[in-house]
Amino acid sequence: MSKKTKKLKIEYVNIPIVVATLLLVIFGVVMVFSASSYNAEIHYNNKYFYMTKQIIGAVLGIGAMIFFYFLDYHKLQKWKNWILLASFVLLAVVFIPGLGSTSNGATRWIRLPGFTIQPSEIAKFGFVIFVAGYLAKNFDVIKAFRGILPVLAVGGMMCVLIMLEPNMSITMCVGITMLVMLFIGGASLKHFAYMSLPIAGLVPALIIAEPYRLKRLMAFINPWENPKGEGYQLLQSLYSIGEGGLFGVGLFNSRQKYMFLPFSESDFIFSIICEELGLLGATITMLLYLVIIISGILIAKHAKDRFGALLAGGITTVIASQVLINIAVVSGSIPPTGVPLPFISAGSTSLVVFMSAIGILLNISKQSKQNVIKSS
Amino acid sequence: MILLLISLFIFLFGRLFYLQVVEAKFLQEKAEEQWTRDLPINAERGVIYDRNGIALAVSYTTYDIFVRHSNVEDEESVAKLLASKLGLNYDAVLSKVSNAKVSESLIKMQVESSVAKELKNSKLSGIYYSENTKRYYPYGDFLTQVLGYTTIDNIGQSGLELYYDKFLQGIDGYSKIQSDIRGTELYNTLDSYIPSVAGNNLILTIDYQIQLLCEQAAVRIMQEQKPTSAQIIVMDPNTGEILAMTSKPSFDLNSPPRNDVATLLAESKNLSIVDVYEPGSTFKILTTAAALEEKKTTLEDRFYDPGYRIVDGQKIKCWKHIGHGSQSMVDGLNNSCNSVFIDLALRLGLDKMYEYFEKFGFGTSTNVDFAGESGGILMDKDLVKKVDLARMGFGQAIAVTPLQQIRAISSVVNGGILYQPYFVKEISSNSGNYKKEFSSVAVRRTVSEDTSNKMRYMIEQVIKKANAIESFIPGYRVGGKTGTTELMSTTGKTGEHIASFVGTFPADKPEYVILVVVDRPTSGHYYGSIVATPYAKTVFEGIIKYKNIQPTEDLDRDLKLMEKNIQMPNLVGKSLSQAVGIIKNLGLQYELEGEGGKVLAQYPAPTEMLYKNGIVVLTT
Repeated sequence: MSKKTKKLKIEYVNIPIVVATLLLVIFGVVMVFSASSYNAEIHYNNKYFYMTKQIIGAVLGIGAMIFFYFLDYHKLQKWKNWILLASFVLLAVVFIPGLGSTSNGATRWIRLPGFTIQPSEIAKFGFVIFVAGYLAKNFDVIKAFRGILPVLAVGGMMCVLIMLEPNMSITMCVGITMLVMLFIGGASLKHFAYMSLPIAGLVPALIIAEPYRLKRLMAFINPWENPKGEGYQLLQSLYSIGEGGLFGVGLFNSRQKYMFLPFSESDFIFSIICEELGLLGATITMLLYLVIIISGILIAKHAKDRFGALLAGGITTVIASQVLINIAVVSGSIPPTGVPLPFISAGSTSLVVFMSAIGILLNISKQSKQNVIKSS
Repeated sequence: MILLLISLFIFLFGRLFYLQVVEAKFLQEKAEEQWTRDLPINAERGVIYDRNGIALAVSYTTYDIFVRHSNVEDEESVAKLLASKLGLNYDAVLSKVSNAKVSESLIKMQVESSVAKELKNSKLSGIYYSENTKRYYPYGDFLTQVLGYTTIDNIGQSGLELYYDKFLQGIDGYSKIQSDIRGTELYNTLDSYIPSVAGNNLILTIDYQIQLLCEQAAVRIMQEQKPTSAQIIVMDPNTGEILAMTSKPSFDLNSPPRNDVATLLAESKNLSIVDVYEPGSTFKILTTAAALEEKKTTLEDRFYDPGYRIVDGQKIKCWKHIGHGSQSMVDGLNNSCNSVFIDLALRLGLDKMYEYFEKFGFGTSTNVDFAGESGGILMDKDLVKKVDLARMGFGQAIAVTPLQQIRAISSVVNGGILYQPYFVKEISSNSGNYKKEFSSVAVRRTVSEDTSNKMRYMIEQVIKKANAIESFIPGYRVGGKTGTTELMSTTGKTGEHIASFVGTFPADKPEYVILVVVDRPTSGHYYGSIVATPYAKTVFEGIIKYKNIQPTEDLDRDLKLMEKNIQMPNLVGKSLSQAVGIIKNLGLQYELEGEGGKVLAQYPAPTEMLYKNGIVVLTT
């Protein structure tokens, strides 16, 4: 890497993705404040509690984004096994008593002095880097089932670990990402059919293992049946969305955030966006995501090498799947599952990791643009 | 790929469009329902005043204390504080404070504001206060059964509190506030406020001062005569207004014996209205009035009493077994001679007797503004035998309420008009928007003016000359008649009596009629003249003082009449005829208890001074 490329040259920067990301992050800070201030006042006696954390996350995230913009993504290919190992270690640490932090019946966080991190957020991108690296290197054997076996094994193990926390939604995310990356990487459609069989069997098994999932599923179909129990969360979300109407009740004016809608600052922040800014605000938010995702797809398409393409594709898949799942959940389109909305939901691990991912996308984009400019 | 992506986004947009536009109204209504909390504002119950504006029942602000578990920081200190300040069991309070299943637990209702203030000063979190009102009766055990009491929720349970409940209650208001999920009010979000409307006030016919006299007299009866119960009523005979009504035993209205239901029910019963008794000799006034009106007798009419009458082969004794001999109509009433009234009843006949019962209002309710009134008990007319009719003449074989009795006698002395008795003169709102006045309702004429005049004269004579001189007040004109009824016991127990006295003042133009009923005195005496009359006299004396009524009669003459210049001799051990001879020589009168021939006991004790015509009771 020459010194020249380390300088920020504006023509190499993918402007739409940077603008969309920064807009969402800033918007996220505002919405986290709006959604959490009342709760924070009650529980922490400080209405800026969540917002402060979110701002720290955003600042760290911008740093990480810049760092990865300048870091040649090919280094990630070299480090892929170490990154994967680190991801597994982090996932395992959650289960060490004293280090893991439990909340609402799930052990998903590592408690560190002053803050907590959520390893699954990091691990899913670690997994993306590993799969991209592996598939890029072994593209010749991918058509054979044994060629994709290591990906399936690693993905399966990761899913098991995340499922043990438990965190079904991130597991789903990892699964979807794995499938999409295998597809982009050129795995044969026949093998997808094989894979879908055990997955189809797994869903009922998971539901039987934790009956609350079935209840949640039923609640999704008719939340009015038990409005104070399983249906509660979804109904409150629907109330928020409905209250917003076309133009919303105005920024900061949500009424549902007064403890009626649980997780209003994290997994259900989109409902508050709908309530305060209406269908208009929700649509603009979705369009910004669309800008990032389409840019991601284009970056993958134009990446100068196979690894870049797979990496960009994987990252974009993670972002797209989380955005779609989150909005589908809060609007009652699919069974409820807790997945944060990228860049907006409160949570600094998620924010830093997603912005890092955007940094990687920018680096891939930069290198392809340099390529284009050089070759022309 | 991109197409799939965009179509997914379009699907989600469609879903949001459905929720935010199509379903919006429904969802908004549902959401708004849960955002607000109604806080009731209790209407203040109306005040009950006496006829002169003295407040007898008022309401004041108290607090209901709640705990919201979610806001409690230190469960144990909160429980400790509440238990000690409110006098509750610590464990019971702690279990409420630490109950996370309910958003809010009621700890205690009707807490005095001074206590609530102390709780507020503690600054412990999680304790909430809701304003309430509490009924307060400034005079405590006063007019107890008439006023009645309310539940802790201020709903009338008995007495006027019950009868006029819907007027007194008022209309609760409420305020709607925006709250968070726990019900905690959000700042400055008062949505709507509908103030409560205070209940209407009552102004009674009751006169606090006269009521006080009656309360004090009744307490003394309970102490001195030790009866089962005692009732005193004072009525304005010219309007039907009830000036005072008391019944003992009773309780402090501020602390009804809610834990002892039997006592509560028994002592909150207004016996003067809901219970009946055999009126006995006071009823003779009514028999006389009916007979005069029907011209079956005159004041000069003469009767002979050998000590009994034989009716349909049954011997009905006069209380004075040796007989009153020959006497005039006036003497007959003075002596309360049963034989005279047997004659009058038989002269009137069954139809006329029942016609007068009806006129005097017996057997039907008086329509007094009070719940649960009894109409009294009349025998089925077809079943009345001649001997029953004879007994009715002196107030037996008929059961009436004290209120019926005083109202009937009032009609006899007021010129002949029967009034509907009533407690409430006026209902009015604080704002003055609502006002309803009640005036006296004349029901019917019972006897003519002329008969009424004659009756007033006769009743005054009873006091002046005969066996009720205990109620004579020097300088004033008082009328009255005693009554004593032996109870027909279902258990075969004899010797239980109801003693009563009905008095009129001033006797020539009565403004006050009093009825004292003493049920089963156990002090050793049971004659109305001893057990009931003296207490009526103290009430009249109290009224004279309170109203500053000037004497109308020659005080010196009256005082001479009242002079106690006869010393009581010792009569115990003497034969009855011997004793009677001594008493007559001294210018005294006598009553007998028992049917023996020898004096076993006497009242008053030897050497006590008596006035002329004073009564000696001989136990034989």
